[in-house]
Amino acid sequence: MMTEERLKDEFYLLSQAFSVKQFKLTSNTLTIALQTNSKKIYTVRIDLANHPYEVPKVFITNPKPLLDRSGNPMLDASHPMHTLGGENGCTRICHYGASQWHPGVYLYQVVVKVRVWLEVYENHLKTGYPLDKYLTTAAG
Amino acid sequence: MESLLYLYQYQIQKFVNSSAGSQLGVAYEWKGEDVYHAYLEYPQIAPSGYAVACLFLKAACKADYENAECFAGNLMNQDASMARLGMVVVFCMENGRLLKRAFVPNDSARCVRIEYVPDKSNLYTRSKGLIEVGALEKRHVLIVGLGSGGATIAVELAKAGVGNFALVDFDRLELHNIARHIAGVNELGRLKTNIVRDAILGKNPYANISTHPVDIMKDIPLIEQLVSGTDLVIAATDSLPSRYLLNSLIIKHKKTGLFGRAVTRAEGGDVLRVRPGGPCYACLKGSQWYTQEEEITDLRRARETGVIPAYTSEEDADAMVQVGLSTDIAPINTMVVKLAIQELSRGTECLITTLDKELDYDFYMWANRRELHFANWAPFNHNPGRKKPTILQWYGVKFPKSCDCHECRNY
Repeated sequence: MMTEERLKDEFYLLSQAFSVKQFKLTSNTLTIALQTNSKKIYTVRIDLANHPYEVPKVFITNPKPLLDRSGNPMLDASHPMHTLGGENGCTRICHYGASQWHPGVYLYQVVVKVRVWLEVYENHLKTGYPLDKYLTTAAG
Repeated sequence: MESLLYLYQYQIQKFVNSSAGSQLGVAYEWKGEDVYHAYLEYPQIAPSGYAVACLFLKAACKADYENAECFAGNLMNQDASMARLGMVVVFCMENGRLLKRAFVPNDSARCVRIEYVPDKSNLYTRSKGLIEVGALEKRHVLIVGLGSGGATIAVELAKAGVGNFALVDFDRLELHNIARHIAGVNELGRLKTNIVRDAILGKNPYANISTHPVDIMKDIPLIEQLVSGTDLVIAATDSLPSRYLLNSLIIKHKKTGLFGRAVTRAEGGDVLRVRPGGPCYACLKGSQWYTQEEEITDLRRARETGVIPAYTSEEDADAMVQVGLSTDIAPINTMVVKLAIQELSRGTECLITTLDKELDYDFYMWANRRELHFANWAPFNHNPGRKKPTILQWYGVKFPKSCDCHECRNY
């Protein structure tokens, strides 16, 4: 349950990085449209029930569900694909680990990670390599 | 042969002042030890021992008082429900003085000595001077998380004379808890809130205790209400989100909080004290002294909170659950209790307040073994110049309040 002050801070920081037409922020949810370098648009929903105390759940709500290169829905938890168990037919992505999370992480930082995840997902579609190949390299 | 019978003074007073001539109660006997505890009403805490029926009698005159064995014998012969009486307690008023005696039916040779369970004013007489018992009795402590840390801390605070508690934990006692928890196998399956409530009442039957078997992440309004109404918050939970939530509420309501925890397999642990205007739990992030690598004690919880990611296999997840020994957690609990008593005693005149000049750090660290996070510490038996910290000693760390801390910068 975000405080009013935190909600204002989150909105301000998001609006510095993204157009306010691109996202809708309430105390429970952030919905944001993200465009990748290939000009494809994805809709992302971030559940904020216990934000900022615990890692928020991030879902790709459009396309629903995301498909991997083989055409299979990405609804299972997978380490190489950086996904967690999907809900309501939406792919859930893995961004911050529980031990890396703290209340000083703001939503714009999560969104930046989601943006990176989407770029890497599109690389997977082109090459067939799992997302881990790129994300591990990026982290290293 | 002498048996020992304990009676609860407030129950006897109620019985003596009532119009009833007799009342059936229950006595619990430790077989082979000749020790009984008798009750006239359902006790606050689950009694121990084996139950026998116990008859409480008020004799109208001294003669009846002295012939109570005959009266009880007749009663047992006439009334089938009284046939298995295990103890009889008789009272009689004589010249304004309450006479009392007890006997075991069919064993008139056995002498029974009666003792009263001490009343409130006598419970903590031996602590007087060292701590201000009267002040602690009025203090209120909120303890969130009643595992091997919180449960032990709660009982220690009750032993020190703290009179008011709010206990929060949604968990039940499971087999894997037993090795480190205050409760034994006879309490498996019980809510930890109730186990700890009973343990506190066992030390202080007059303590006021509220229990809240809830997940604080799912009932934030309740936990906020509890924080706002307490003198001290003890965060003994095993998850980072719950500690961050408590930190936020402690700051918002200008309370004092103590955060105690063990790190991986209790190789060590730390205690943080958060006071109004000082650094908070979120300020710790990034400190060289602090690691977010927690001890994983419960597979199911670790899965739920994401500490063990969903894609981790069952086999790997099992290997990640590595708990420490109870004895390795004990020093951390002791430090939390010391700091708690120090905080609760502020403003009173007692010997414990001399610690104010010494225990003035924000963060305290302890290592049990030179492993992982503490691998570079000096060996216990070889620490030339004492340039490095070593195991089995407390180290205090003062660290500044972070001016850009999103949680406490405005407080």
